[in-house]
Amino acid sequence: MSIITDVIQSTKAIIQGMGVTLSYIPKRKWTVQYPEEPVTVQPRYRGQHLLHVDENGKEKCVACFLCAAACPSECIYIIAKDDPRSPAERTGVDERFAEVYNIDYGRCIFCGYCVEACPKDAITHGYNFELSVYNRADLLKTKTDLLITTQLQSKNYRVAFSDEDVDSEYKEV
Amino acid sequence: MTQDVIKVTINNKDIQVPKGARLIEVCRDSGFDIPSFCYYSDLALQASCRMCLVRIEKMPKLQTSCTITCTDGMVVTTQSEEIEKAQRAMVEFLLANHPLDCPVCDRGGECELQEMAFDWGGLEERFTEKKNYYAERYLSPMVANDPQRCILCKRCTRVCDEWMGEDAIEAGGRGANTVIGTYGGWLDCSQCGNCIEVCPTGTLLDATYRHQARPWELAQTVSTCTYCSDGCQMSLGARGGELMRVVARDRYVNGLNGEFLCIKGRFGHPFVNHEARIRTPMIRYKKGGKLIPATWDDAIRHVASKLDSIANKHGRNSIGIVGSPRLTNEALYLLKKFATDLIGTDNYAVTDSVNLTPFFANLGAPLATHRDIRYAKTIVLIGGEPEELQPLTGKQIRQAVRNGGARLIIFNSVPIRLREQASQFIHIRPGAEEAAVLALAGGATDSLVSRKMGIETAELEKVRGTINETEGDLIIMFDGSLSAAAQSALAQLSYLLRADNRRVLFHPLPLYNNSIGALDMGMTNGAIDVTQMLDAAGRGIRAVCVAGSFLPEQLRGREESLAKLDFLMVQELFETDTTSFADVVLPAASFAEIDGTFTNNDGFVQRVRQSIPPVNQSKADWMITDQLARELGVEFGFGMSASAVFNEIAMQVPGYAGLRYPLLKDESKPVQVKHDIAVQRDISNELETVRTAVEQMDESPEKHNDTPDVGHELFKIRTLTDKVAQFHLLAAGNPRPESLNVSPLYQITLSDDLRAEAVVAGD
Amino acid sequence: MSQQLTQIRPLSQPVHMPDEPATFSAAVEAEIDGHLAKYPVKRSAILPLMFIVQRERGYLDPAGVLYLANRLALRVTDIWEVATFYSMIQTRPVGKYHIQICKTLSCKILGEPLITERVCKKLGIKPGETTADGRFTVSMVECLGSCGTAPMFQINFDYHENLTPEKVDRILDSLP
Repeated sequence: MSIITDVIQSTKAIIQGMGVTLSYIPKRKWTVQYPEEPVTVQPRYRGQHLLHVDENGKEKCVACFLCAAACPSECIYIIAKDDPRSPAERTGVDERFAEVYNIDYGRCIFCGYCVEACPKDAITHGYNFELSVYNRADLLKTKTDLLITTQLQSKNYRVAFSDEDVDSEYKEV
Repeated sequence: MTQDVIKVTINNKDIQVPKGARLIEVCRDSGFDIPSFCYYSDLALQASCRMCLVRIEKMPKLQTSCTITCTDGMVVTTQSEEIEKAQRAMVEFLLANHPLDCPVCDRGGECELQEMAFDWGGLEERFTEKKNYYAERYLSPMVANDPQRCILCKRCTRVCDEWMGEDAIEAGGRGANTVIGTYGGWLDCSQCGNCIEVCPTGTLLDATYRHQARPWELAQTVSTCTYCSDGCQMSLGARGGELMRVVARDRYVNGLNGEFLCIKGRFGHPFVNHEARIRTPMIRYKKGGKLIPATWDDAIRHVASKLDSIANKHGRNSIGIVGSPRLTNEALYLLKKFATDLIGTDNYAVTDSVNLTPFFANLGAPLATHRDIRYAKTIVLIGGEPEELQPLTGKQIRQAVRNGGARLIIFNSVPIRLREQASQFIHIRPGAEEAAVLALAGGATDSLVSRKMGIETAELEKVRGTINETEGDLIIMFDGSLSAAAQSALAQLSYLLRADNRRVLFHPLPLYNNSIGALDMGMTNGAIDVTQMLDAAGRGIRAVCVAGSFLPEQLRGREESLAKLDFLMVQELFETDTTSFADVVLPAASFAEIDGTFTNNDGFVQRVRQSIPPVNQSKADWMITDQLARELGVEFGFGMSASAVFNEIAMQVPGYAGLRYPLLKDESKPVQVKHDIAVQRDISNELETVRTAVEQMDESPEKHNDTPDVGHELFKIRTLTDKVAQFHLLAAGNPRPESLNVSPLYQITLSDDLRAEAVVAGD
Repeated sequence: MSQQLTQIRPLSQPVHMPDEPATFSAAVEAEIDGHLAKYPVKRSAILPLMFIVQRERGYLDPAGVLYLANRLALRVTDIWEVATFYSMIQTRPVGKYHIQICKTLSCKILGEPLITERVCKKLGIKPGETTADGRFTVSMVECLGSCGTAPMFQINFDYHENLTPEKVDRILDSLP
């Protein structure tokens, strides 16, 4: 191969590459100015867990331990308790409820197996993703941190609509 | 015995089986799994679940294999499209009224119905009708009930009837509305919980473990019960250092008791993690002062220096060593070694209320195992009340009579409940149990014996007649009411009563889990017994080391003597009457926290395994003795290993020769101690002593005519059962709460009067 | 557990056991002895005895159950098991007129629902209940063997057949 073809080919490659680069300059920017503006997350994003309540405000969790059993990193800790009160006064939907429900986010790998295992649709992944803390012990989240009624939601995200095509740009590539 | 062998063909495989074998058992033994819910071996047949259907050639329809007895040339198919279709339809019917509440059901994870549904998969539910519904409720403080989960296999009602003879639980109503329950809705029974154990679904549940944990997260440890001398094998379910429950389910444990446990074994375990457990070693520096927590090293050093100075001042025999028949063989062996080899005292004793030494010294036949009892043909029960004090023995006797056609002869001053099964109940005067030995030995003293017993002479003749005319095993059971001479004579009776077609076996009924083991280890009464030791306190005896506590009846009237001692060391789980006088209290570990062995009344050496780490700062009893010995300058050399202690036991105790922990591993094949069988000798001296004693016997005592209440012994509040709230309810007569839907514990407050009645110490 | 489903009858009423069993007159005792003498095993006489106790006491009350258990050497749960199995044995008080409406196939097809509706409406109670004045109890029972003349019901021991709603009115009105 002669040096001339070599130069021509390299120049062509550079022009091609610069072409792609330059073509993006007029397009919409994907960089999000987090935390000044919220991140858009997918509806099925797996963030911090949420413990749900039913329409009467009763906790859906019946402390069946299936999430703890399914968890590959064994980060879920539950203490079940008997609630002898009448259905209207109960904490949960059933007489059995979780007195303690802890998730150790130092160990959680956000695999979603707990959500799959839950027979009562009591636990799902929420969208809170800012889980970093200054103290390692704070990674242990208790029931108050997880219940949908008490969990503090970050202002730094918005959930994409189900028909919103948030990442088609990436699909093109 | 020769058995006819017949041939059956199962799935084209020819199998030789003994005549009369049950088809379902044969199929299962040959590796062809047959599903079933209602079939339970050794219970009456039910054939209500219709799951065990098989095709037998030349029979018109599918047959339930649990009701079929094999016949020669039978050709059986256990798997085919037709059978599976029928079985799937049956499961669909079973599920027609079964709620889908597995997540809240305590049985979830070990439920037979759940397992079946999962194994098969693809079960569809075509019924759209409303399901039967009934609110969850409590049948007693121990038994929770969820009627809608019931599949009507009636295992519980059969177990209650055949094992316990109580018939407390039955099926009411009919058709789809049949429910398991009791008349009046409240269960008045011995609360053994065997109905819970055999229930294949979550219909009957352990109310003490309700909603506490799921089975899959419990670490199951096979161990031996610490209450009575039957030595039931059970599975301790522990989670995170806490003992959550005890079961005998055969998926976890397969011991001599099958799935049988009594109320104490099953529900009497919460003492293990009870907050009242002694947490640290404690020293009372000044008599009358307070017990002050100390470190282990300080406490052991304190004990050693005290023992040293007392031995120097008053001599070695001024130190008394007391063991408890509740300790492991290892602890008792080391305690004996500590007393004789290290301290060098003759004054060692055991806090057992029964001393069986004369019996074992003259033992003329081996001990009967519980299996022997089940298949025995004649059983003679002298005194005792097995259904309350040794419930497994009681159950085996009942089954021997009801399912095996055995003859049961009872000598008792109390019309105990087992008499319902007895072919002959001899209602004797209180204290006349010894005379039964004379009656068994021969007819020469019949007139005297019958006069003292307050019965007809003919009854004694009938006893001997029954024994002579039956073939098969003769088992003689006796409790602690026999004197030394009577025990010796009885132990030799086997030579007199045995025949070509009959073995004679003995089954003593001691009260504690390791009474027999204590005897084997030599940790019996030395020069004096416990009460003599207490009486000599402050004079001959200056210091006492107790592993366990004195029994209340031993301490009654002698509380002062403990105060007279210069020094008292107690190893205990809880504060008792004995610890209130102690100068040093050391926290001992319970059976769930240690390794060791117990020897039961069959002579089986059975393992006790560590399920949870020692609670608080407690230590195994043998380790405490070991540490104390080290402080006194003697190194036993066992380190931290209980098996090393057992190895030495195997070398030193003849009956245990060659035993090792690995040999005791399989609880389904327990190893029996080889107790020395004494040669036949003349027992006329002993009989003469017994006869003289009988002659002097008082004829005035009235016989008890009332059958004792169910549970009068089982529900007694002792140190350990005191820690279970439910026992207090039962001891108070099992009051019926306002609402059956909520645990009675939430509704009935345990008054102080009730608690004050608790007999402290001694259990 | 959102489905509110049918209640199971035999367990819905808690029972408080009396200390003493029921007592009967000498004539009744003699009748009971007569039944007991017929069978080699005592417990075989459970049904005739139940009918006698029910006849004497109106229904199988706890004291009556205790009496039966003592007489037959059974436990109270055994009595309860049998008593709840048969719809002819009452474990709760019934009215003077016990209307047992057949709910099985022939009657059902030929208009049992109309009959039941009329009876209940007239008496103001639901099946399984007793009127406040204690005169009527309505219960639904399985086939009474009178399919040829369906629909039908039984008042105490008398059959009333080929019923129509109008006939129901007449029958109920004519009861003393």
